[in-house]
Amino acid sequence: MNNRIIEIIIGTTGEMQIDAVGFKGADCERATAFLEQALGVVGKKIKKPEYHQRSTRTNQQKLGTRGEP
Amino acid sequence: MRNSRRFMEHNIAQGAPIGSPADHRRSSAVPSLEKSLIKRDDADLLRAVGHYHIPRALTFQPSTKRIKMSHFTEIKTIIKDIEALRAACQELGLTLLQNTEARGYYENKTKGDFVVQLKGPYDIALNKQPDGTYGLTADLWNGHVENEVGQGYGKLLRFYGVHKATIEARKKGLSVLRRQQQNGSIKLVLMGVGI
Repeated sequence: MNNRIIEIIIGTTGEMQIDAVGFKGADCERATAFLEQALGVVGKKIKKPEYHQRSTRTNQQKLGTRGEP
Repeated sequence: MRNSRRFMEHNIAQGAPIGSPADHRRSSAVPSLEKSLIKRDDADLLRAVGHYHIPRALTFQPSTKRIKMSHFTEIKTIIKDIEALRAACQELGLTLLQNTEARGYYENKTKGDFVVQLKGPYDIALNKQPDGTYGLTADLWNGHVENEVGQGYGKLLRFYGVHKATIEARKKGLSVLRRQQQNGSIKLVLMGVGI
């Protein structure tokens, strides 16, 4: 029944991308909030085009220095 | 171009008329063009030499705070969880020590609440900041630290991220699948009824 997953891709420089798949609307924000809080500074959030249909969302999160590119 | 120049020199030596005004311009322009090329090469070389050093400083300066000894550079990171850091160190084959000193250039040492002991000559010190995160300090000279943990502590931060995310997911009762990606990044897939 539950086809929701959270995918996290951790890049070679510690940069992180969190992707909530199978969530509806704000549910995915709630689902990934615990990770954002635990992991650090949130760089930017990208709502995927299918945000309203498929309810998925990508968060990009940077581990490491603050304010650096 | 060399051929055409030789041709023109030959013509001049023979006292032959120079074909067109364009040819004349080119013949007089060549030496100065060469000079400017040499100058430009030198500048490029200097820039290249400078380039090797400058980014190092530029990369780290904006968020650095020099403390005590000039060779230590601090980067504010969001490492908060020592257990996740310990797991990251383990995976990299490094030792995490508590409340000791990190080695730096020529017997310089800096104190750390925690110290990641590297295999090379220098270590990484971690000190707790007022906001609860740990700041990383290391002597970045000659790339010793970079060789082991990557630029900007990238490798260490990557494994810290992997372990921190795994710990947090398990706390919520989620199962975690870990996959190494071909480009060197690591993918975690979190599943379970808790999400």
